[in-house]
Amino acid sequence: MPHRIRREMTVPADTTYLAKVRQMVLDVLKQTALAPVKANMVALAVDEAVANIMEHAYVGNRPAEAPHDTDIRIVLDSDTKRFEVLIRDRGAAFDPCLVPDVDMSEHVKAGKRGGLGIFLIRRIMDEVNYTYKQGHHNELQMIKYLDEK
Amino acid sequence: MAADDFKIDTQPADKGVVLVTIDGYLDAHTFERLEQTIAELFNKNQYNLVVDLSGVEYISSAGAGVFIHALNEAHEHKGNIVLMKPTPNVREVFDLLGLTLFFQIVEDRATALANF
Repeated sequence: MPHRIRREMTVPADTTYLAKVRQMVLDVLKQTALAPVKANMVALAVDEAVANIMEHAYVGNRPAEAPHDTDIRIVLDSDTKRFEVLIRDRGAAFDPCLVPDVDMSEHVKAGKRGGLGIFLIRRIMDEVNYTYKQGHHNELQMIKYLDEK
Repeated sequence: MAADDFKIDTQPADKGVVLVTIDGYLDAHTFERLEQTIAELFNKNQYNLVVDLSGVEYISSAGAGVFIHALNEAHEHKGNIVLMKPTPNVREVFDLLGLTLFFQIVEDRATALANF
């Protein structure tokens, strides 16, 4: 496999594009030793993070005069040891690291529809780091170490 | 498969159970269509469902959330939802979420219907 793979994509805040984002992640991970089911889980973590931005970051905040300000940039950087994704958006600041964990028994008992995305991301990825660049953008960095087959 | 290829089919099965067959990606873009289908069945007092997941190659938390909410509502009306033939990707997500403790997951139609 190549020593290092880098891919990037910019998509509108529209869930139609989630399948393309996942496909980009899978294309990169196909070139690593990660098993297909595990690769699907990493694609799921990226999907969850991007879907959260699409659905929540721009609510009531879609500038008609500058529609590209709602674009989401996804940068993948992978080698034989690690897969890293950076997700940048200009929506409302939101730190997923501050979201409390889910008690699944209570969650099911209450019949809740949402609230599992961050929980999944934490279960799948090895590192999740959030930065807000004041007046500029949100940046979410997620890393998966690839020594697990 | 493109996201637009997402399909849902409903057919009556034995014992008043409805078989819901899903094909495609069940994600934040498509989950509302499944939610709507299940709501329509519940509105007709059909709270016993077998959901065939053999054509679902991908599920996100939005899709899992539809089943969690539907299971809760079905139980409130003395009904049940049994999940059938999940693909390895879907089973992995249910395992990771711990949902295999709350859902009956079976591999064939006869076993699914035996749960009603």
